[in-house]
Amino acid sequence: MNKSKNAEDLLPLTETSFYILISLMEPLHGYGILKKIEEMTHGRILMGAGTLYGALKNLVENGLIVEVESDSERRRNYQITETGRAQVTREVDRYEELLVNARREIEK
Amino acid sequence: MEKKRIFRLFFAWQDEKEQAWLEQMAAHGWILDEVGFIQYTFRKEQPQAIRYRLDYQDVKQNELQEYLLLFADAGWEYIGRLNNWFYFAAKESTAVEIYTDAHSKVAKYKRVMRTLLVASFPLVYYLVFYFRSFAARGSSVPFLMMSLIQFLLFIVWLILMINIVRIWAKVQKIEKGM
Repeated sequence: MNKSKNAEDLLPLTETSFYILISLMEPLHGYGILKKIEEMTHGRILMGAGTLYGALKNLVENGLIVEVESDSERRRNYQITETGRAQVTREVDRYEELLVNARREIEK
Repeated sequence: MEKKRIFRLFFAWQDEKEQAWLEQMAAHGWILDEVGFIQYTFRKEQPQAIRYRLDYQDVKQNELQEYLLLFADAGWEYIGRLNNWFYFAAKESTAVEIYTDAHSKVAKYKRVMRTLLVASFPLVYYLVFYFRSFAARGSSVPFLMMSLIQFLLFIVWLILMINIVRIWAKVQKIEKGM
């Protein structure tokens, strides 16, 4: 497991931010993100507009997502950045290790 | 259309109370039409079960449309704005709450606290500064008038402090529940 720390090694993402990131592999607008997350989690995560708005601002500030050109002049589209992809990959590795360990210990 | 104007003061930490009051008005057929400083304008309609929510945002002018559109898409109709307080109403019971996790709810209240704190700094400076020159009695302004101005400013400062403390208490309560 790669233990090296680099400047982009941000703290573990919250579930909210994590789901927003993986929703933005392709460009999507705010409300689209809410609907996509609802779909992906089968209705378990119904995110509030205020919660999303704040999370989007943070993610943009941290360079994990970026605003991209959208066909609608009114609604902005967002997309994950390379930095964001790297962070997601790191997190997925972390969760895979976590799952393996958890399943094994629970089975005992 | 019948309209009614009501004058009422809610402090920053009373946003939930204010929401409840607006909802109660709607339940009696008085729908919030406009918000102003200490004044609310209602229009008469059928009694309705409308949810009202107040958000606090330091939103720049060029971000405003995005913010309001997102909320509108999510079912929250924009009613009006008072400084950085945004008033929203949802008619559908299916509209998801504006804040769905403790972290973002706390973030909202911290934004309010920050603004209040920043507002209190010039007051403190003024009060301290004038208290010192006041004590030296070097001012040509009548004693009583200085006292009155200072007293009023001190009251304003006190109200700001009480607001900050009560919002901080709210934040603690939310974080404890985390």
